[in-house]
Amino acid sequence: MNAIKRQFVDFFNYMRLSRCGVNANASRQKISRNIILYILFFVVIAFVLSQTTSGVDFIFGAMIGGFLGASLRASIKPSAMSVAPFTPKQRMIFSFLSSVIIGLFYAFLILIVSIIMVLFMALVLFLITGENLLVFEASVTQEFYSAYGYAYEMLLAVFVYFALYAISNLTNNRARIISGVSLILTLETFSLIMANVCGNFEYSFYSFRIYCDVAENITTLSMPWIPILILSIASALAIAAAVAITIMRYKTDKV
Amino acid sequence: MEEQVLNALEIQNLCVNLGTFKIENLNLNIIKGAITGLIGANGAGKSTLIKTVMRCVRAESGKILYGGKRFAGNEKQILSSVACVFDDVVFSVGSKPKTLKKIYSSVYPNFDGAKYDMLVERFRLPQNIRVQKYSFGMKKKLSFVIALCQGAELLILDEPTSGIDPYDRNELTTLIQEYMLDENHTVLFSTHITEDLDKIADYIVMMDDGRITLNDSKDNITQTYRLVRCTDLTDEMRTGAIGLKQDMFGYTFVTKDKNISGEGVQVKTPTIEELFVHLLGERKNPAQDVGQSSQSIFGM
Repeated sequence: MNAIKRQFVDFFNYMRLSRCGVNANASRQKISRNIILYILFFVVIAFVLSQTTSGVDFIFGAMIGGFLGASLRASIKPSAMSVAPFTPKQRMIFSFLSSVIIGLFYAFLILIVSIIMVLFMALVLFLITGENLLVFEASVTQEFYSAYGYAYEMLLAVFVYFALYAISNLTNNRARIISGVSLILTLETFSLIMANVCGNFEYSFYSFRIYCDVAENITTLSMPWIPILILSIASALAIAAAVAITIMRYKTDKV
Repeated sequence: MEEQVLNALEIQNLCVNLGTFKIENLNLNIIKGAITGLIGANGAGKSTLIKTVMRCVRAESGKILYGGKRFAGNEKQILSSVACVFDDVVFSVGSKPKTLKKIYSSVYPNFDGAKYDMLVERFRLPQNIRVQKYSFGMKKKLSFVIALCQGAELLILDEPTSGIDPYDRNELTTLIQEYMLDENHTVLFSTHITEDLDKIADYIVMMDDGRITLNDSKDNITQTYRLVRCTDLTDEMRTGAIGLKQDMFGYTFVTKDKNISGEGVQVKTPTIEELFVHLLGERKNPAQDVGQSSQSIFGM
């Protein structure tokens, strides 16, 4: 078996074994106990972040969720994964990748559910009011965002939730603070940058127009570049610190 | 010619700092091909030591050699050859035993699936229900079965028999003895159930407050120490007494002095439990401080 194939096999085995870890039992209990909070948090985050749909925050959300998930697993010891025969490099990369994959899986599920929700509510409102409130704009870009903007932000919300859940489970307070700060700074910084660069996007969905209007008002304010630059540098440093903590957790000590 | 490795595990000057608990300059060799029992009071550091060996707790300094090899650079090989049963279940209790078998078979190259099925049946563990529905003792047994089937050369067990009924405890110790039929296998297990140590251990290591207080073969220990029960305590007896205890019937202590005799004096070889109780008692309440009065706590 060549080296690359071996790595794929090892990653597959790690994914299977990760069913045994990540505080799986506590996760289920926490989610089932806090299902209402989970849903409310989900919805709130989706609205708060509905300022831009550039895709950049999507990527960063996935990356942040990935390394926070990796950090989470490193902090849970002993676990089936922590004593399994993987090298430290494999452990770090595999836990990052598996966290991203798990996040994408849930995001995809939420995307499907969100699209169904949007269409269902449009149907209900049509039956009540006789009015078609599902608006499709002329251009391709706006058509995508107008029709699926809400679902798209739900995707981001999943990663944010996953990242925050991972933060809350880190056992090191310093790691929690740095990871939380880096997450907030990153999302806010790039949201502000993209809102100024890309302009505003309108959600043509009746129930949420009020929130969209509020978001629009915020993002139409012209922001001076210096604060944005400072925020960008601060978020980059915070991410670097959080990544460094993750790497340190996976480094073999010399003992 | 390759030098023969005599120790399955060598721990040198190990220092661990968990804030509220420390292990400082701990030295310990686990002899290859032998069963070493690790005993100590609650909070002595047994689980911390085991977790440090399994790299679940970071050590500040020191050296740990696994069959003569450092962990760094040999992680995969070492983790394939060391199996551990922790005091808590580490695998997902949302899975069924047959699912766990598939997962572990793919992760551990030497995992013995046939042996797994046989042992699961031997311990009467249901295969078609999720592990979360198992009792604590059943989860412990399953943890042990998984560890035993990994094909490891070093088996580390942290309280493997706690919560297990006497019948299966006997089965478990029998399995450990069968595992040891291969002279390349080594077992280190920590326990509070000293009868298990009496039955199968070759070496006994006692820990107290992060330090090793006793490390010797069971044969040497039984030859070195004597348990003495007497109604009257002479100054000479008190001098050599370890863990002196006084009750309404008289005095009990352990000693290395093999020449103790007299009227009302009973001398015998102590069990591991009796030795442990008195050695720990000596630390908490030195023999010289034990009072002369024979009044019991019940005022009789």
